[in-house]
Amino acid sequence: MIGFVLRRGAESLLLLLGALLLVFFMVRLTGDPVSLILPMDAPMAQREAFREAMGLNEPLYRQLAGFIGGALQGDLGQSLRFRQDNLELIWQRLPATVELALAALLFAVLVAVPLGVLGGMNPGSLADRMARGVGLLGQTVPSFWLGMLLILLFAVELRWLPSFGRDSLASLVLPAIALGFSGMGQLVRLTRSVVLEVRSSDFIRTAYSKGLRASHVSFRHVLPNVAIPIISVLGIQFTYLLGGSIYIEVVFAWPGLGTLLEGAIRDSDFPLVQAMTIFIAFIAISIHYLTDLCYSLIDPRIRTG
Amino acid sequence: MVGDRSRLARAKALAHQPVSTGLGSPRPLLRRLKGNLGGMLGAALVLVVALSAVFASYLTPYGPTGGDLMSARIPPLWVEGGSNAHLLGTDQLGQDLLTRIVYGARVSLLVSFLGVLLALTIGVTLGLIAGYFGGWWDTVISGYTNLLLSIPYLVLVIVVATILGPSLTNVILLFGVTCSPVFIRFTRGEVLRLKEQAFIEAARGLGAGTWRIIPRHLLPNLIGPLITLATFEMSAMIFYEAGLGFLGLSVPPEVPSWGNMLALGRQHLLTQPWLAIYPGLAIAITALGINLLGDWLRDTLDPQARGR
Repeated sequence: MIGFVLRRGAESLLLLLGALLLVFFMVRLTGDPVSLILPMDAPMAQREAFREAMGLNEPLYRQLAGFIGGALQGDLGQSLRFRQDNLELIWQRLPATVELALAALLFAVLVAVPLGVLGGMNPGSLADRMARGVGLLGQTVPSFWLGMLLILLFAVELRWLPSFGRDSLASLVLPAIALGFSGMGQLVRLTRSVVLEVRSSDFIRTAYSKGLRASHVSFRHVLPNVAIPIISVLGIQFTYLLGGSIYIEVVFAWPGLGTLLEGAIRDSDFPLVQAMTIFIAFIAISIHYLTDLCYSLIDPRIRTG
Repeated sequence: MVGDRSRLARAKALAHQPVSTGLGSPRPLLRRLKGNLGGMLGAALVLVVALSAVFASYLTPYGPTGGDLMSARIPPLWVEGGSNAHLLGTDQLGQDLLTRIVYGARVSLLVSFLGVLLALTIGVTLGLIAGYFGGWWDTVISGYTNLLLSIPYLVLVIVVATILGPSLTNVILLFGVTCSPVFIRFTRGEVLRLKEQAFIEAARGLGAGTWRIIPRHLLPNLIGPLITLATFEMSAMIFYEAGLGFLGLSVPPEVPSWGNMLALGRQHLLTQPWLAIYPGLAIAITALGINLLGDWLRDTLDPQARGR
């Protein structure tokens, strides 16, 4: 187990280093980072001064060492627009995004798991057809479009819920539904297919042939085995929601990382874009690592396999 | 002599016996589409969208850009103030919404089709190399794959698009490269599995080299599932392209694409809601068509996955 923890830990660190390199070279791949940041008609003198201030005149290996050394010490540079540490800006906005992603995950799980279990337990029933329908809808409705439709219906027409901002729990409802919708579709499909698979396995047949009641088999034998794969995808779902929240935050003017990133792109605040990419990659890699550890606790085959 | 020849014949028979049937010939595939309601509906929807993309200029009297300011902000026909000259209404420049939606299909289909084709080409090539040759090749290619997959996809795409700047070529390249890990992973896994099977060993025993085994024995067994995978990726890519357009990072803003139109729709959501509703509906219909088609393809090409 300790070997597994260390091996996956080392892999995660390597991935993080790779992500840093990727971001570093991606910015320089198109040639001059200055042209990404300064307006096109900036005078030569201003460009030179900027290059000097940003350390872009130093040799590439010195820039790389400075960049990675800074990142390892938690220094992700300064925002051009806010004149403030990028990491500070990110920490300020992080709670709102985590809150939104968690609410979306909760919504997805609360709808998807019961529906998927009901559908998988009774193939061909009304619940099963609903589960398949919801699964398909999740793949066909773009989240940001759904967000706008929800605003038009529940905020403009019915006036039940607020359409933007983060003032009360009520303002969390619409963005969470819009963000969680496609994840809900995926979870329904997964739950349903896992239930179908478990139900047709040998140990369930054995349970029935022992003469156990159907309800006993469902609750004691099927459901516990359905839980494992579902728990294991929740971590992946969460990182997916962090990315997807960019669009939803823009639609609902939610003061989180998404609107921060959108603003940074609009204002060509490239240091901030770079810092946010690294930060989000760090979170995603960490979550992936933790998910693997949890999973290996539940299912020992992973450790050796 | 006789023993040798029969062994040779057996090996030959085995070598020509694919593990899964894969595609077969196209005619029975189309015949199997009859009678499958979901598949037929999906094919019909995709056909309608593709045809309107190709024949956009014949379908509508208006051009994709440049409107008549006199007829700006007209609501759809069935809303009060609607005009039958503009079925779905117009935007603040007087551009016909339906026209722009029809032209928008071009961008969506072009980006998703060429993007998937590029991702497929890169992915299958690298996946074959990693799976077949192993060693350092595998280490490097798998490292690249894991790296791209470790950054949340939407964030990766947004950052790369910011760096590249908005243009059609850039968006296609961007999706081609960033979607390739999905195909690399799949191809590598399948090659590793197939490599150990008897029919490949038999082919090798008959003296078939790498350049015969890969095109004649490995690729035919990959085509079926790869087509299914590519179909679903194409529908996902339509979403991603629209998402980039929504943030102003896809094709230039004056080009009619569904994402660009949704970005405009958001700005005028409260005053001209139709600008947001109908381009999104076009995305949903297209994605529904492709997904139904993909579900049917998967059930047909891989009968074990039916209904899953």
